[in-house]
Amino acid sequence: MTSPVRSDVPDTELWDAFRRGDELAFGQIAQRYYKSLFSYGAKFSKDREFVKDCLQDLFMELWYRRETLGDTEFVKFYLLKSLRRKIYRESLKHQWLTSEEELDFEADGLGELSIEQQIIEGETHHLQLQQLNRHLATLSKRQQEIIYLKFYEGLENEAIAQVMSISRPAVANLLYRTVQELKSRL
Amino acid sequence: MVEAFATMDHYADYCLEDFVLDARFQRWVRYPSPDEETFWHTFLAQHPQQTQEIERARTLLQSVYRRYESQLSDSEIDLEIQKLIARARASKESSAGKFTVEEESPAPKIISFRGQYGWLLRAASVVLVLGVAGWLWLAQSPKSAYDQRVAGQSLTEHTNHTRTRQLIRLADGSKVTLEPNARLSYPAQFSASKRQVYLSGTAFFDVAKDAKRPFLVYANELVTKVLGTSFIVRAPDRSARTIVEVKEGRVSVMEAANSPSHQLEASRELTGLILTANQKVIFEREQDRMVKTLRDTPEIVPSASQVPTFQFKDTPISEVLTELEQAYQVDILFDKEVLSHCPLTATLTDQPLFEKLTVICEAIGAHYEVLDGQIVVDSKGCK
Repeated sequence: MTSPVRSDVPDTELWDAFRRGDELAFGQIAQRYYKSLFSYGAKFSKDREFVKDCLQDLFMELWYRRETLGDTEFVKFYLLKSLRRKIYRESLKHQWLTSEEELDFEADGLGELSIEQQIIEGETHHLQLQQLNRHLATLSKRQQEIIYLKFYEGLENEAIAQVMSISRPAVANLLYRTVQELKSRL
Repeated sequence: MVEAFATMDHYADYCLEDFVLDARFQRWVRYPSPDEETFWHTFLAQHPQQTQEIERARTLLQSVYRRYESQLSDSEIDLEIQKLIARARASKESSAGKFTVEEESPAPKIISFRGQYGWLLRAASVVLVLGVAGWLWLAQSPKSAYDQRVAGQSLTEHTNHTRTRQLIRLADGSKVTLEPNARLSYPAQFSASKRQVYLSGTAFFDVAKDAKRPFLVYANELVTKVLGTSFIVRAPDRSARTIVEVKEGRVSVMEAANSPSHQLEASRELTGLILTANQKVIFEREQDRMVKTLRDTPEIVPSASQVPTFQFKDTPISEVLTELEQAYQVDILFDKEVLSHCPLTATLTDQPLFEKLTVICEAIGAHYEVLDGQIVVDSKGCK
């Protein structure tokens, strides 16, 4: 009963075709991860074209290295981590960041509901969602990134720790605290 | 459903924290499928005491999903994926030494572009969209530029329904390679004064030289006019960007709206924005503007002298850059004076142009950028 969009591990056949240099298989793999990666990248930069450029480079690096790539198990995690590193390096290069600073994780949308959605959701539920949305905005950047990686990308704590370069206990700890905080707002 | 009921039991003692961290629960909130709906409603019917906990967990997750949702349309994704496939292809071709075109491949590959379950997703989203906004779309969707232009003309239309490129030979000897889903309309015979075709999607053109009859490609907002050369037009219907890339020779690109057709045929001069080898122009519909830059992966121009090996031993950087300029026929701006004293030893045979430049710049602590279709190398001399 796995949902199609969450098939994180590419079929062996597809992956093999990609490693043999089949560019359509490559395109299909890229397609599978594109939205999720873009969405993650967009949290670090408001410049959509910049995020797209980073993704182009990232995937082309994957393509150039296709023959030396190992198993497929960690593709998504590997891509998320590489993307974060890439955006960080590019931001240093463009001097949007100094080396002492960290990347800021911020929602790229407002999280507000359209009128139609409000009507569908109903008044009470809507107010509750808005309140939570405001509270999410007050969480620290790390807290927001952790719940994003956990709920949105479905990563294990171990993978989150590696993507964000923090320890696993720290992830577990922050995740627990964040859920408690949000719960108290319900 | 026996199995489903069996797995239900372990949710009986779940609290909010457990629910929000559970993959199956997350899936239900994010992608509510009929199966999941049935599962959770059955569960609630059997465990009514969990109702409040589940409602709160659901609200919490919904607020997270809503807050971090990114707006990215399918056509934007498609454009990026097409770009990637083209770049991957170009990298293979440049390492093979020349541009090759797959002529109507006999056996279409079995790989579906959108993945094994793609049809499922699309079917699902179609139902949703039709339910909410179907009538709006049908009533208001304007015809694409391509459809408007082609309507009422007696033209031959060819659509590439396969998953590989297709080659079309036109009456004048020109060759057009259509990417999957691209459509081309053209007359069976061209008139005496012009050769005019209409494109939707992406195609590579290799135009036969005929100085008396300009060759015009209409695609989205742009007209590309050439006398004889090869170039690529990327113009998916309703796409926010239309792109023209030149492989060899010169073309001119104009906005169709500003260029009455009699004027286009009358002059044999190339007016509008002129593009030369390895340059490209991006037309942004939103901003209504054209930006000139270089192709993502410039290729060595076949007609340029013999193919250089790019092997350098103590060669002054100024000479290295000049060799690149000639091979790729692009302008590279740099300070000859300063860089003639910097020697380079390197073999740069296989890398694409921009990687070559990165290597060169790294060797001397310089950097380069692409400005208005030219490469500018900024250096203060050797390190």
